Amino acid sequence: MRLPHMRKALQLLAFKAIMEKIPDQLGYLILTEDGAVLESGGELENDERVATIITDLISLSNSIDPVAFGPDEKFKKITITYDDHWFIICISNKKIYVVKRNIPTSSSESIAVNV
Amino acid sequence: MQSDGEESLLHSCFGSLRSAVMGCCYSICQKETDPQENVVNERTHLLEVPEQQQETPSPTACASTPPRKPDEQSALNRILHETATNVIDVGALGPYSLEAGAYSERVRAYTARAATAALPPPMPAKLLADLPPAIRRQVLVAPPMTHSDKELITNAVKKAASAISELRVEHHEDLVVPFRVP
Repeated sequence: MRLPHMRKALQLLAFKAIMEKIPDQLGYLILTEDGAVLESGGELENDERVATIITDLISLSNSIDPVAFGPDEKFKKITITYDDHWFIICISNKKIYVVKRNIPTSSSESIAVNV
Repeated sequence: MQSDGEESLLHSCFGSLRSAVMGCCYSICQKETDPQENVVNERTHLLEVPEQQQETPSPTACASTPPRKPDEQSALNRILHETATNVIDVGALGPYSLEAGAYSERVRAYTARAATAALPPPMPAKLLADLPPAIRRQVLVAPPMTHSDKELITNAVKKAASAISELRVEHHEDLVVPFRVP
């Protein structure tokens, strides 16, 4: 009787292990295709608001111009980049993976010197 | 001057108090003229108290509470009996078992109903590809977008936006033409 619980716990641990290996990660969300939160952690823990926004973004991208993007032209990820952090969104196994990652503030990146 | 101000202030206070008291009396009096109307609003009584024992302001309440008690008690009893007849105590029902035939028939009926009422399946993502786990791990640990890429995208979008805003209509012919009806 305990087996499904153990399996779920192991799955959760496996997810956490994968997610925590991502460098600079601040939080993560794993959603179903229609936007229900399966797992969450870090700054995105229980963040239904962000889950809804990401799901809406993906459904928005479903109605793009078929002339511009053919049915064979698929993308691997969507990134949303801010000044100090960024989000990476990808789909795998019919689940939406969202990871919020930190941008390390290094002065060398922002200064571009043309000689 | 000071005393005049104080007096006028007192007058205005008293006036507002008087109007408040009159307002209360008015609302109490109005209830007696409304028994015919069956409109349910925030003023309808929850307990059906008879007309002659309607709410009176507090100074007279002490004098009238003893005769009001038995009516309140009977009203409460009535509510209690109504609730007792309407409430179904599931815990007290005892063990209930369906026959095998009735059970399977219900399963069939419920699944049929559930199938008709099912939500449409979520549309799979068209622009994003479904990645196998190995590639997913690769994608998630990939470094962020480079600064030059960001600049490129921002500039391209700015140019596109300015180009779209420069779309103009050039007028060559008259907009309003007469109908040439012979």
